[in-house]
Amino acid sequence: MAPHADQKYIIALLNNDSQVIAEIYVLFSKRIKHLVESNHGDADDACDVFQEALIAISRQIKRPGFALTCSFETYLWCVCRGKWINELKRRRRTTVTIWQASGYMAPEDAEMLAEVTLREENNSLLFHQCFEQLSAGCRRLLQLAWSGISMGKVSQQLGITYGFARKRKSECAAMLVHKIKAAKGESPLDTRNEE
Amino acid sequence: MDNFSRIEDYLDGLMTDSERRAFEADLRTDPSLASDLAYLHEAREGLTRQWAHSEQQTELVKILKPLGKQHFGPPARPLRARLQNALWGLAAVITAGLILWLVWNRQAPKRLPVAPMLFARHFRPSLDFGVARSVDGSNADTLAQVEQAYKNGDYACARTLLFARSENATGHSSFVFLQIGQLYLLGNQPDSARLALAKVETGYSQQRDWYLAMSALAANDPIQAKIRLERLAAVAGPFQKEAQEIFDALE
Repeated sequence: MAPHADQKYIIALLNNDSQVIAEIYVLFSKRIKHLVESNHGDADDACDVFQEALIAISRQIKRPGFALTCSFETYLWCVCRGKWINELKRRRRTTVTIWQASGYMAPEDAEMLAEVTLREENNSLLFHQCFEQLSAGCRRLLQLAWSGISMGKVSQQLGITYGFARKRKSECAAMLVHKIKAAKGESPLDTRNEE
Repeated sequence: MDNFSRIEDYLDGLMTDSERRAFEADLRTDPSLASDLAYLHEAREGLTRQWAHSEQQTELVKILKPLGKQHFGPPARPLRARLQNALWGLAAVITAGLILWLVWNRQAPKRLPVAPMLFARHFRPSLDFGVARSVDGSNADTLAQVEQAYKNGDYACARTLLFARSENATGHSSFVFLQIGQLYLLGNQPDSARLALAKVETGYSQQRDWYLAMSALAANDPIQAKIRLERLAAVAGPFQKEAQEIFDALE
């Protein structure tokens, strides 16, 4: 399947190509500004939404198997809309049916791609937040262990025995999963001590 | 072995074939094991991807921020309008500054310090050479010279003669220092007057305080003047009323 004509914007976000990224702003920012300002937001909100959407897209396109199947503008618009709806929910505003208000209906593939992007972005933020809640020792251990080096080298670097490193790694992993589940409201947080 | 140790070994590919088959069989029958595996796998993938691309993300944010300001900030006004605004602003600042300067520098009568004014109004020397002569007749010639120098306005000469007289005279030094103090005041030397008047001892305490108050007023030292004046105003005497008047004027 041939890459979409707007693939250049995906490549620009992958490579931090400032010129093409500037083009994204020139071509697409006005519409997003109108979207947000017409729905209880201001220029600052629009700026934040646009930036966060581009960051979310830049993360999504790094996932294996990503393919742009719609216009970049539509994809970006859907991601921005989704972000703004979430923000309005967070601010406890009744959601305006933005897509009806704007009179614009995005193609289904753009909607699906945006939905996946937003879900992955939310997960990414959640994982990061839960990871940061672990102790410094756990964070260091998991970062080393998951970087691809052997547990033997990990235990050497941390100055602990191999057996203790393996045991501690599974404990820290368990704590991380418990925190993620608790954040998603799936199970009460485990009260075991980390240290 | 606990679940997470097995999950980690499974994700790291550290299981033997039989261990892997057993684990996968457990996955089919144990939903919590399957759930833990799914969560940990997703978390590991997500976090390792974030760590791998964190520098690139930081650089991307640096590119996006100024673009955001440029495209979402308030629209830039045309250069002409901005220049016009700047000129009007400058004109307003200059006008305000001018008005402030005029108000600040408006000629108001300069006010003289109060204490020296009071000195000029109330100081009256009381050099009575007749009394001095009657006190010590043996130095009549010197006293005549002192009086002459005083009338000529040569206060320094008068002081010198009086200083010489006070070395020789006995029992009258306080009176002499009272006169010397007044001569210093006449010569506009209040600090020297204070030093001389400080040597005035018993018998002339009210005069001493009065001329010390005058010295303080001449030296523009209202605090010292008030100390002396308060004392004089509290005691019945020739200076009481006037001392109170000057004290009130200094308030």
